[in-house]
Amino acid sequence: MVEPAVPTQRTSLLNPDVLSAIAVLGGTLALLLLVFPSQIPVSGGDGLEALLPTMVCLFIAFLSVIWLASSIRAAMKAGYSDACKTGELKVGAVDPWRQKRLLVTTACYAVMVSFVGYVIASAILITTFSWILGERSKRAIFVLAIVFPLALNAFLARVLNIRFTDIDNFLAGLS
Amino acid sequence: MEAFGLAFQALLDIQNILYLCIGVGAGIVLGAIPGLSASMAIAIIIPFTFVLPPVASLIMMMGAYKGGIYGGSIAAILLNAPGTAAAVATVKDGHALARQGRGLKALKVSLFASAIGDTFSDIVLILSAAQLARIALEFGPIEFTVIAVASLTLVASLSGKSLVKGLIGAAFGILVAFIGLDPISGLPRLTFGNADFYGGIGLVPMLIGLLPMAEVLIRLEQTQEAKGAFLPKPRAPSDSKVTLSDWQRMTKPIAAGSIVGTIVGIIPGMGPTIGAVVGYDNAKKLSKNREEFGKGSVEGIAGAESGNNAVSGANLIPLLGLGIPGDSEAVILIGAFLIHGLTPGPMIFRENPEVVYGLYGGLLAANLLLIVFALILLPQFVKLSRIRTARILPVVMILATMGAYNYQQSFFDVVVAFVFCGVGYLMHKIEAPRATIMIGFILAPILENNFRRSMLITDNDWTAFISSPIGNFLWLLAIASVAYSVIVHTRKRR
Repeated sequence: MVEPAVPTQRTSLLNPDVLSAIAVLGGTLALLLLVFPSQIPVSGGDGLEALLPTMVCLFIAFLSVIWLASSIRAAMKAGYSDACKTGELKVGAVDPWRQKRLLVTTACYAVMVSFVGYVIASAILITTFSWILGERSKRAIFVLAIVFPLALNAFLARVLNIRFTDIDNFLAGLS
Repeated sequence: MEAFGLAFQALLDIQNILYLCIGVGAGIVLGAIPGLSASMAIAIIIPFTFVLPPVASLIMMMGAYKGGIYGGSIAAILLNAPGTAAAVATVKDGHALARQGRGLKALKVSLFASAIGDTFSDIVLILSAAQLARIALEFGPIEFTVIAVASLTLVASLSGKSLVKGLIGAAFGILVAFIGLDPISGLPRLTFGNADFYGGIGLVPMLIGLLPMAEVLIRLEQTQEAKGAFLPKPRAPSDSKVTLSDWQRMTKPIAAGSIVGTIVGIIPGMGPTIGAVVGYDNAKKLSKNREEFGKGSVEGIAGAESGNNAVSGANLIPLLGLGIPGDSEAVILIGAFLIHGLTPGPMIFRENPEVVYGLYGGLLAANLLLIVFALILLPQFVKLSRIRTARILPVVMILATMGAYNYQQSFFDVVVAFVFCGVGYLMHKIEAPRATIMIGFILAPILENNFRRSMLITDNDWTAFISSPIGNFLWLLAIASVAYSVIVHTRKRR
């Protein structure tokens, strides 16, 4: 494992912690002021439907103010980049698009199942996923992409009586 | 004694034994693969256990959980790559032994210490959960409201580096639980007119998104594979065995680790990591060979593993006795209960005692099966630790996606899983514990139902929450845990 070197640049006040605190505070206030009036009933039941959600939101807002204040204070005191505190271990250059490509691939998989079926969709996903991650052994990809989905599908359908994909249900869910 | 007899009866059903074997085996396999953990393994398996009877399903998942924890030790010892925070204490001495050609010895020490620690805490569970449930049946809605709030503060304060982030996570989990139809009036809340939201957010898709899916995203950032160092072969037969001399050295650390781990497991929010660390520290204090720690000490591994595993059985004490989850593993087990229409808590001893005693039997048998499987198949399990990330991550993603769909045969749940995958990933980036969302989500209905019942009974009298002696004791506990966390955090900063 390689520890990253500690750079010497001063911490930006807009570091991930501060930005996250601002996002949470903003989101909570938006929820309270814009969403709750229309989405939380205030009458019709025992009158307490709105009480706890409102209290929880106010609590989150209060906590995010504390978080924001402590993050700003920490950023002003710190002398090195906050990124190193997360302890992320990176070796060599990281492909910034890899995660995005893989997420998109997985999202496409979830949709594809309804059109081409579980086995074919899984084969496509595994092949694409493995290739992006650097797997080049054709035998390994074949076993994973073809044999595994078939074997899993057979095991679940015949032993546990689970129909993995019902195309009609998937299509109904999409529409 | 009656409880042990009933537990044994559950095991007479050959089907239960079969599912337990599948669970333990699958757990070891999934845990041994780098990049996976016991929690992820169970989260993926849960949706596929719908078709099983409740006892078989719970037994299979407990087996998978125990197998998964031990499987994680295999990767930790051989690859110096702890799959979970709890395995960190084992890595130091375990991997050091492996580099001396005594890897099999380390794995066997880990196995026996895990099984003994686990069995001890399971026995404590069997003897005490019903007693706690009996006491809890005397509680009213006021006491349960206070228990829920106290559990939230305890969990949030003890489960991460930042108290504030832990509490925000828990509060966010509660907010998510409010989505759907109000449990008392039936009015929709935060549904945006969408019928999919009326049933609320499913626990299982949320778990799948937060655990395996988010973990896949996190692993994708690591460009370096966990590679096994060149591990020399054993030089003598004793390098692959646990000798009598090893057993003599291991006895005290295992005993201390088991007791400490059990106590840690009973308190919500502590988790196996604390059990492992405290078990390791105790082993060092009790040892006459402290200089060996960090360089390949059998006692270190024994203390860490027994402390780590003793937490798992004890974690079920607040779960079964009060319905309160102590950490993420307990939350996942609640998911297993809920999909079979069971509610963990004091009433389960009255309404579904056969499930409880079946679970007890499964817990005890799982420890035995773990030893048998591991001893016979250890060389094969060792090979699993070398599986490349590129081969396992797509498989995990597929299983997770289809597991989310299979929960209610609904595409909506797949969307929920993806959303929480993003939430889990963001929480990892800001170093906020993901478990607190799940615990807040589980505690929300307990909190709200009991709070509103209390208000109805007392005619909206808020002072009722500080009039109950048990309630006041729990308030003090909650305040103490928050104060403790603030003090510890302030000291660390200095």
